Amino acid sequence: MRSTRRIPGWVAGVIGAVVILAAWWLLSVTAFTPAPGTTFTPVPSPFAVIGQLVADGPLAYWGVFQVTITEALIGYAWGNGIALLLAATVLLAPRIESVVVQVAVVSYCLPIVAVGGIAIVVLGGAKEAGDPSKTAIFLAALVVFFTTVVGALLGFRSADRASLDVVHVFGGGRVMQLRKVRLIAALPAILNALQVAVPTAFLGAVLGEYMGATDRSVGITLIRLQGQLDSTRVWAIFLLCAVVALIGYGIVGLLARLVTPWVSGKAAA
Amino acid sequence: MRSIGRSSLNALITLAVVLLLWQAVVSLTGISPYVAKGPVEVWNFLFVDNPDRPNSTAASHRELLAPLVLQTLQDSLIGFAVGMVVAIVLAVLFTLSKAVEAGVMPLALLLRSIPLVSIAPVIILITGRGTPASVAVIGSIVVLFPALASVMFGLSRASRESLDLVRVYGGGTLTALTKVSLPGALPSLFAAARVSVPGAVTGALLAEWLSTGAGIGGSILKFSASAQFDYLWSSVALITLITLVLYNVVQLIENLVLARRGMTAGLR
Repeated sequence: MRSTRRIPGWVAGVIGAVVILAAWWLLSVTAFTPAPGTTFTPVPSPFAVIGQLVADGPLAYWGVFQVTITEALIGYAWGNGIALLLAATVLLAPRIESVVVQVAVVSYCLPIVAVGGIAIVVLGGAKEAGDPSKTAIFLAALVVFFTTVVGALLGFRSADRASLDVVHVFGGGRVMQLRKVRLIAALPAILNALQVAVPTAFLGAVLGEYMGATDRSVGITLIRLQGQLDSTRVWAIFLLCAVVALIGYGIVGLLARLVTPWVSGKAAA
Repeated sequence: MRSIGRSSLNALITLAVVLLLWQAVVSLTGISPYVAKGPVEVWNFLFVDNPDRPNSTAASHRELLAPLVLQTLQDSLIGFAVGMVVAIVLAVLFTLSKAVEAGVMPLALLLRSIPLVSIAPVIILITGRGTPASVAVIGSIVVLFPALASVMFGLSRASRESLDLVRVYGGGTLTALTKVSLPGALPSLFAAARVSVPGAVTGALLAEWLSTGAGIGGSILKFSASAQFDYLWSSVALITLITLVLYNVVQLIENLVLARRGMTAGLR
């Protein structure tokens, strides 16, 4: 739009990354220097953290992250699956749309911290070390539910009136309208909702792990490392969490482009 | 009037559906009734005296929960206000300068993708344990990102013709912002406020759980550890109900204001 001040996307990304690193480094050397005689600092410098990551090797963290990613994936599948099914009922009975929305809103208004407290008693956590925690799966499913229902409903509504009429004129019924127009028109909005749900599901899973009852997971590892005042590794895990969330977000974004190539069609270059 | 009648009918149906779902979860999943409490039990706990337990009346339960709920609402308000203000200020800055957006947006994204429970100790170290500042920071981090995304979406949809009109009459970027972009973003501002209500409550609960130890958030682990499951389920029900009411109040104001200005509601 504003061609005069347009900055290319990759430059903006580089600037952003540099600003973050600089701010982090400044914070670590000015505000959070270790007290004399100790080595503990709540905000270690970025170089120390990346050095630690390289020294430990990625495999040391994979065993921990694998459990949380599994939980997030299972929760993601359940939460989005149920959300899409519920949203699809609106296609069969359009009158119940506002009730569906309200039920989704109720799920969104549930205090997840308190629900986590109940879930850990009712569902329990991981059976053995390395198993996914049921509470984490449940919370991951719960936090993605609302956005996906709303996104899907938005998509189902975005069907082009004229295209629906064309199907009708050529003798197609509601099922034909659904197959040829509505589902295809809804895909971009649904895929967008599914993309936003990736980081959310991961965060939900970590929150669930914080409720306890797991032996090997990102959440419990963070609690342990914080207990040992190992702030360098804590920040290393922060970084990896961001990386995992971004990779997941990127993968779903790529899939969305493959499935709906016409959406990004405006940018020919 | 008819629309009010229809929406209250919908609210009733929703309430019935949710209560049924709740009861179904409690009674069909085979969870021990000692742990799982249905809607009837919570209602009885809060409003009906049990003659077998003269020391534990419904009034005493309400007295214990009321200050906790009030505290949580107060904390939610802090997070909501700070988060919304920061989101609007950032969105305006981003619209005025792409360089600021490039510098700050990744930070906002990063804050969003790191588990808040785990940065909370660092935040608490900076702001002090149990201080209102820690509540404000944790609450506004939860509120900030969805609100920011929504407000920016609204600002970016300013009508080109109106912007050009301001420019032709010699108005600068600031005039364009205050005369065109901000009023045009009203639907998105309301949408942001609406989505921020549950976010603010979640943020307040997190802050109370991890920092202040006050309010509902601070009591959940105590209820759970001391097996006071009536209190646990009642607080979840109360917080959900209050959040739901607040959400719908914002929606009502939104509909009224937008209808008066001849606009339609924003996305979500």
